[in-house]
Amino acid sequence: MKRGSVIGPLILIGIGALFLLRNLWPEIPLVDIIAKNWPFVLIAWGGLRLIEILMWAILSKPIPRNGISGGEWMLVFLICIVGGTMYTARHYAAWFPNRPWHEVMIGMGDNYDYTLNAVEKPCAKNCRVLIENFRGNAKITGSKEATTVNVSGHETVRSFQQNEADSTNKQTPLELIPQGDQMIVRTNQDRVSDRTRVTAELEITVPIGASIEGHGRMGDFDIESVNGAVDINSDNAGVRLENIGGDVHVDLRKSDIVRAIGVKGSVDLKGRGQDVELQNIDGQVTVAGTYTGQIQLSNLAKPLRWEDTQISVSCEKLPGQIHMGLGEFTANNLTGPVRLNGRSRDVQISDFTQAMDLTLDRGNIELRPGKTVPKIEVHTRSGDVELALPEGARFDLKASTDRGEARNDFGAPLRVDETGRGATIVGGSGGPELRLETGRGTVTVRKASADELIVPTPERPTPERPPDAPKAPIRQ
Amino acid sequence: MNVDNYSLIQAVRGPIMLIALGTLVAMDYFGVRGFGQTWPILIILFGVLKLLEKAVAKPATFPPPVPPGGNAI
Repeated sequence: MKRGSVIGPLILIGIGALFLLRNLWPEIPLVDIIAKNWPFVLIAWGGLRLIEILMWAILSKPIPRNGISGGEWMLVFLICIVGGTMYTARHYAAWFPNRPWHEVMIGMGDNYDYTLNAVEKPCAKNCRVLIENFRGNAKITGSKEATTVNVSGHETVRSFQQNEADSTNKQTPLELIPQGDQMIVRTNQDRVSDRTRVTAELEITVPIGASIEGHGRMGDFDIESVNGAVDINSDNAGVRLENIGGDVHVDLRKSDIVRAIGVKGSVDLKGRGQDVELQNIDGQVTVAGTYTGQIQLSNLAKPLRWEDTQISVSCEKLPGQIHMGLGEFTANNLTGPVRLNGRSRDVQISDFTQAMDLTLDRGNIELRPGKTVPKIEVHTRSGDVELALPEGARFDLKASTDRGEARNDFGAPLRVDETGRGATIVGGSGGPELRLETGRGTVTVRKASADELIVPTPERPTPERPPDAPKAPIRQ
Repeated sequence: MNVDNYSLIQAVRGPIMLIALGTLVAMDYFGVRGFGQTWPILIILFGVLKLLEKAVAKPATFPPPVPPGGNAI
């Protein structure tokens, strides 16, 4: 009789037991257990075989030439490959440290929704509310009656298994922690494992005098009617502010929109993003960053400083509006010396009465000063320049193109001098210097028609209502 | 015990290697030491077992040397 080993039958029993386990108690994370513990199968196998051989040796039975045959080594090899693959798949995070993979894996899970237990704690009228680093959307409203900070909301756990989501939810209670005159809103999202992801949707009510500091990883901040300062720092956020009494600082790595309407203090914007909308700002506005979407600024009472990689603009006051989009800049009714420096853009500015200094790499320029013509200085390497002057204004003009034609639609006292491939329009009646230069393009000076001169009331763009549904990908 | 040590060591070599392999992988998974660092242990172990085999092997029986010159008939 061929002497057999106990290993073969044991392996069969083990496989059967695993399937049975899976059928009877599906909630046991069997795959996880196998993925991590399969090396013990090898150890057990080796141990059993060792004992077997020693037993045979003691009992003086003939022992096999090889403890483990070639075929068995093949099976070991197979187990190693399968087990190693499972382990890698389950612990992908360590193998693919870059987040996109992680996002993709997490994205395969399911969403589990939970209502968070609301918390409320009394705080000073002018307390500082700090929202700790979290993922999700926060809607913060100041209330005149409130003497407490009240937080409620719900959270979504993205996970592969219900029990994992449940325990994640238990690990992430909402907490309010008073610390001096500061109130910390904590979501405890950093406690969860790498294999689940929590997003919270918070509704926070604060006393109207409170100031807000928010840190987020991803998600929107909507803040309304708060008299203190607002300080938002996030990796990826849409920020919408309305009726803010203090200074506003917003620093974002990525953003779809930053909107501030009605800010009594200054507005300081940093980072990257797309759309920006600032309206009715009483303080100074400073923007340093890269904003690539539609930009709408209107009714700024204090100086504006806009610096980004494509364009820098400054003026002392903006009773009218500025609109910037891809490759265009339109402004009307600006006060104070205006400086604009841009790469490639079509610029259209109307109704300005103080010095204008405009330099472009390329782009068409259209200027229409107000009733009194200020000093104007314009340079572009390539692009048409058009200047509309009110009739009877006093100025001293020199508009030239190195390569292109000059058109004098204004008439006397201007005249055109053609020089080589270019041309120059000169003349004037004494007054502020107007210097326009283009490397290549047409220069036109014309009369502003009467209706153009009526100071257009700056059409206050009624901001579209902020969308009710948050944009942050709560559900993917 | 009438089994010679040589064949015993030869037989247990496989299981011991298997146990060692499993232990190293488990150590990797539980964060003791990475398998990438510890794999040479397998070679060393194999070498040691081979050495043991040689050490307990029965001394080889050589035929008596033929005297030079031989016995010319």
